[in-house]
Amino acid sequence: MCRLVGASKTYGVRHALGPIDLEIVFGEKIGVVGSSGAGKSTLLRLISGEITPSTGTVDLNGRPLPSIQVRERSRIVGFMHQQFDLVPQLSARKNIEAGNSGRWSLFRTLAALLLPIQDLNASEVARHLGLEDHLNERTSRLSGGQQQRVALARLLVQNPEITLLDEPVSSLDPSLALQILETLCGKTKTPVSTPKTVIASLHSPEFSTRFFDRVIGLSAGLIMFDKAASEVGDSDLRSLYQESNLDFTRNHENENAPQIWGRD
Amino acid sequence: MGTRLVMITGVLDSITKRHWVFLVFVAVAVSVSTVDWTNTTHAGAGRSIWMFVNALLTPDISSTTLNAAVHAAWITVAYAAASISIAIIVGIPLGLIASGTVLSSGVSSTSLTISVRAFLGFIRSIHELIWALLLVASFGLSPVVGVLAIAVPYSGIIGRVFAERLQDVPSQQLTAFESTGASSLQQVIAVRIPSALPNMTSYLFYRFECAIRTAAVLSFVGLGGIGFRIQIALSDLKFETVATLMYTLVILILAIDLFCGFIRKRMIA
Repeated sequence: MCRLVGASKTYGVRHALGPIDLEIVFGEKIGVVGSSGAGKSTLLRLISGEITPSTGTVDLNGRPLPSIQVRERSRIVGFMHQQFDLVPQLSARKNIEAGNSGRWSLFRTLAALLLPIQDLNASEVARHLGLEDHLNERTSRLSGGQQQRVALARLLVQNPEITLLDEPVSSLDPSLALQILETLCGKTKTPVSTPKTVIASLHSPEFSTRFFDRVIGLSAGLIMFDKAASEVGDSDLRSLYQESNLDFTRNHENENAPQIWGRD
Repeated sequence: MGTRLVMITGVLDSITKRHWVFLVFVAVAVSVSTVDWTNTTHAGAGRSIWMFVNALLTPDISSTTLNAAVHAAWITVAYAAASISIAIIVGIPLGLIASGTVLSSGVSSTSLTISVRAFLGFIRSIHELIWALLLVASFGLSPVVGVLAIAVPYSGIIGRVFAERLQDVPSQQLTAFESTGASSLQQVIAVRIPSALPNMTSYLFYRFECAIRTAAVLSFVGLGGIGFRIQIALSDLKFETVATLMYTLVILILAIDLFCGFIRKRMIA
């Protein structure tokens, strides 16, 4: 359902990713691991259509990504950024309900902001993520972990075919992180709709092998390994982080290169 | 060409902080020496200042003066409120268009955006007092003219500031919203306007404050209100009454400032 062919991305002179070939099948739960700057966020951003590849192509459901309109794209892929990117002035509820934007008309969006009507699905998702007591709080007043859960809830309400998550549990305490990952990867039965296909970038190799079916190791923008989680061994992970040490020194030489997104 | 550019940047680089301080000093010295300082005082200046300071310490608090002051203040506030209301009604929609966030891209909408920006720029670059003179010349002295004289340039200012606030939303928030399937109009409603609103509200209160001061000044043109009273009292040399009126103005501005702070706190909470 998602295919990358010879896809690469270069920001100015900084080479971020690829060229890589990748095929993702409906229903897969994929963990992407690698150190900072390995290209994890760039890979997710390419699949989301937020950036276009410098070379190569990205296809969704057999169609080139640029040909898919915003509304339709939102039903196929949804993306949670590392920075959550919520609207701080709005309440948590309004941010979560925004996940409906692709289905809602302009009028419905306006009504949701001005009138005291509540989207039941959004309430249910929020309750499941332990946010029910914070729904009416201003988002800027929530803690980092709570904001991360608001962003996750927004994505669950959006309910796309492919769910892209950039460091989905980075701001959560360990026990909560486990619980959320179980929900995201469909390991527990839940009353809310769980993501169908998941691609998540993670710092922790342990989480990736424990919760995901397939693990992709990235280093310096290239795929080092792409295996079923059960087959990932210590040597794979070691190769990843040794390579990344070299990569780290190389990045330092490029420190003056323009970093368009300034993240990752 | 290339070497010349290098030379220019080289010269700019060699100007140190000390040079800049020296340049600023020279600029200030030149401008101060340009002002004609010879006729700053007249014979009775010292006495006038003394009388005025004395009046400030002993303002006229007779009931007639206080009544007149409150009434005049009320008229001034009414002028300012009417002006700012018109300016908001006109300025906010124009600002929405001028921000270029609402209309889809296209030749006709781009030209509309540019012409609205130009219009806002034109009406705000002319000062309230000049608008008052122009409008009085064409329509004669009337309260409506006073209100319009403030409302016209303020529409331009409010429109421009609102447009800027709408544009200044972090692009990541918009990208995230777009990925949920939100059209650019939905983004305006759900991201841009909520982001701009708290800031804009407190700015509008500040503008209301400015409108009160301007209304007070405009009443010198003969539109009634507190400025008009001050002018009459001054020409009658009733400094104690002038002091009362000025204190009224100060209290008015402070009250609005307090009210604005209260509203802002509620909006942030």
